[in-house]
Amino acid sequence: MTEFDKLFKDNLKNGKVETPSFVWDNIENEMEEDKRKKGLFFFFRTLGILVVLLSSGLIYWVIDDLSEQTYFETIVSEPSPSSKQPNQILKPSAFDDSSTAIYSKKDQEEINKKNTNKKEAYIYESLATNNNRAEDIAKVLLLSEEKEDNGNRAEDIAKVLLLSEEKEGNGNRAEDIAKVLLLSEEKEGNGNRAEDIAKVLLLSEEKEDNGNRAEDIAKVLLLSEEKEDNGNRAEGIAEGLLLSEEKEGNGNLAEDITKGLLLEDERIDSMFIENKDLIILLTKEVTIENDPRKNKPKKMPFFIETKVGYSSYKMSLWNSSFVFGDLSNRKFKSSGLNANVSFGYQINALLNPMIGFNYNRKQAEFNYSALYDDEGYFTYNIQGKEMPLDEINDVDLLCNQFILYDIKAVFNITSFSVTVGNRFNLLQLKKIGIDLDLSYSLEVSSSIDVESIDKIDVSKNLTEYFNSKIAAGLNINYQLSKQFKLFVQAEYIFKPYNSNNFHRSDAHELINSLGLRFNF
Amino acid sequence: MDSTAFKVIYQHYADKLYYVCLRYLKNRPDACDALQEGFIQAYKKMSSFSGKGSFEGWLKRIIVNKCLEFLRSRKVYEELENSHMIEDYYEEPFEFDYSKEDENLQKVLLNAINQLSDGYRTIVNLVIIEGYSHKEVSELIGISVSTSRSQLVRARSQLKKYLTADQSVQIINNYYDRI
Repeated sequence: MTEFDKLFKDNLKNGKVETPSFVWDNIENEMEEDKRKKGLFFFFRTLGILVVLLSSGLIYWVIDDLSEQTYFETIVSEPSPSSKQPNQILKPSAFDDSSTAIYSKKDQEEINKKNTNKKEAYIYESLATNNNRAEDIAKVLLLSEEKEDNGNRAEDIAKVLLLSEEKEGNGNRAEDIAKVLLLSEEKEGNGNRAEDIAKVLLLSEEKEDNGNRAEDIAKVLLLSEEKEDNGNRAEGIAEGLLLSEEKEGNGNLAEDITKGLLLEDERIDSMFIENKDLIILLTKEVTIENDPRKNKPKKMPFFIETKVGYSSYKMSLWNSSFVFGDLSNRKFKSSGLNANVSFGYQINALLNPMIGFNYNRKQAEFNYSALYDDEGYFTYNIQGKEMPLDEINDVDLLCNQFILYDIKAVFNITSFSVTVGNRFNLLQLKKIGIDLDLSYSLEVSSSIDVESIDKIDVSKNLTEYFNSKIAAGLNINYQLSKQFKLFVQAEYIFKPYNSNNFHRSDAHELINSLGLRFNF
Repeated sequence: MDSTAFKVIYQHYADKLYYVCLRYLKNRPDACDALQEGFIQAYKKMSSFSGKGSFEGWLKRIIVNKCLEFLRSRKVYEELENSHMIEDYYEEPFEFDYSKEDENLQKVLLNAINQLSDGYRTIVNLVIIEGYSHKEVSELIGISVSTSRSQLVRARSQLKKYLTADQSVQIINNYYDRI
C-alpha cells in the first residue's frame, strides 16, 4: 500500500456523520410492519396447516366410506358361478388360509365336516335358481356326514343333480333316483335296493349293451312294487330308464355323466376356492362382524350441548323526545360474550327439536346529540352531577329547547332468552357433519346498564321484557368420541323492534361459537 | 430481537455506517436509503450472525453490499467494464502538503472521492479504503480483475489531480486570507 492509499484509508475508513433522525423512524416502521407480517404469516400458516389437516381428514373419511361401500357392493354382486376369473375381493383377516388347501383337493372324501358346511353355504347362495335342488344336495351331504356308508352315494346324487340342471331330459330321472336313495336311508328295507340301483348304474358303464342294464333295473323295480309306498316312485324310475334306452344317445349316458360330474366337480372346487371370502361374508355371523355400517355407533336420541361465542351486535337506540333528525349519531355496534346450553332430541335427519337457554352480555359505546326540552322525562346529569336546565348550554338559543352535543355513552347490554328450534342435519359423514339450526327466541329479560355517560343520564326505561328474535345457525361438527362432538357455529339473529319509550331499531347479531355436544 | 435492543445497536453504529454510505453513494438521500435498507436487512437476518467475526464487520458488509446494489442499479459496473483499458498509465509524482492533524483533511479527502465518477469511487472505496483485493472486487461487483486494477490506477490519478488543484486553491485562499 502506497503512502497515498494509506492517507485515504487512515482518514476515511472510520469517519462518522450524524444520521438524520427520520432514518430510524423509517426503520422502526419497517420493523413493526415486519412483525405484523410475521404474525399474519404465522397465523395463515397455522390456518393453512389446519385446513390441510382437516381436508386430508375429510378426504380420508370420504374415501374410506366410499371404499367400504364399494367393497360391500363388489362382494354382493360377485361373480357368476361359471366364472373362472380370479376374484379381486380383499381377503378378510379372519379367513382361515388352511382351509384353502383342503378345498383344493379333488378327492371329495377328504373334505371334512366344517368345510362341507361352508361349501354347502356357497352352493346354496350361488345357485339361487336351483334352490330346491341345492337344498336336496345339502340334505344329502349332511346325511352323508352321519352315515359313513352312504357318503359316496349321497355325493353321487349331488353330482347327478348338478348335471341335471344342464341336461333337461335327465333332470327328473336324477331327481327320482335321489329321492329313492333318500327314502332308502329312512327305511331299512330299501337300503339294499338303492344299493342295487347304484350297482346297476356302474355296471351300465361297462356294458355296451344297455338292454341288460335296463333289465336289471326292471327287476329291482319289480321288487320294489311289493311295498306299497315305494311302488309309484319306482315305476317312474323304471319308465325313465327304459325311455333312455330307446334313444341312441343314451347309450353313452353313463360315460357322459361321469365326465360331466368330474368337470362339474372341478368347476365347483375352483369357484369355491376363489370365492371363499364371499362364502364367509355370506354367512351370518361374519357379515355382522365385517360390515362397517353395522358397526357404527348407535345414534342416541337425546343430546345436550353447550357453546360459548363472540357476539357482534348492531342496533340503533334513540328516544323521540330528546333526539331527532340529523342531530343524532344513533347507530352503534357492540360486541360481547354469548353462552348457551341446549337440549335436543334426535328423531331423524330433519327433525331434531331443541330447547336452549341463552345468556348474552355485551358492551356498546356510542355518541349522539340530543335536542332536549324542559318537559323532557329524563333526569339529566352533567359529569355525574344534576344540573338545572338553564345551565345546560343553549347553543342554538331555542326557547325551552337545549341541544346537547356529543353525548358519549357506554352501555352494558345484558339479556336472557329461551330458545326453541329445530336442527336439520344437512350432511353427515363418518366423523364430520353439517347442521342447520333454525330457532325462535323469546328474550325473557334485556337490560341496558349505563356504565358511563358524560352529559345526560338515559339509564331509566331501558329494561325490556319478552322480546322476540329469530335465528339461523350453521354448524360444522366433528365427532371426538362416541358421545362427544366438537362444533363451530355461526349464528345470525334478527331482533325486530317497534315501539318503546326508547326506540331501538331492528337489531342484527352475529354469534360465532365453539361448543361441545354430548349424546346420551 | 425487540426494537428497543435494535435501537441501541442502531445508535451505536448508524453514524459510522452512514459515513460509509456517503463514501459510496455521494448523495444523502441514496445514502439514507441504503443505510435504512441495510439495517432492516440486518434486523431480519440477525439470527444468521454466527458470532465468529465482529458484529460491526458483519453489519458493515451488509451496508456495503446494499450500497453496491444501489450502484448496480445505476449500471455503474457495466460502464467500468466498457471503458477502454489503459495499458501503461503514468504514475504522476504527488506531494501533499496537509498535515495529518489538519481538521479539514478528512473533508478534503472525502470531497476528492466524491468528485470521482461512481465507478472509480467504488473501486477506491473497496480497494484503498476497505482493503479488498482486486480478485474480491471482481467477485463482488462482477468485473474482471484487470478492469479493477486499471480503473484503480485511473482513479488514483484523478484523485491526485484533484488534490493538487485543491491544494493550489487552498494556498491561494490562505494567501488571500493573510493579505
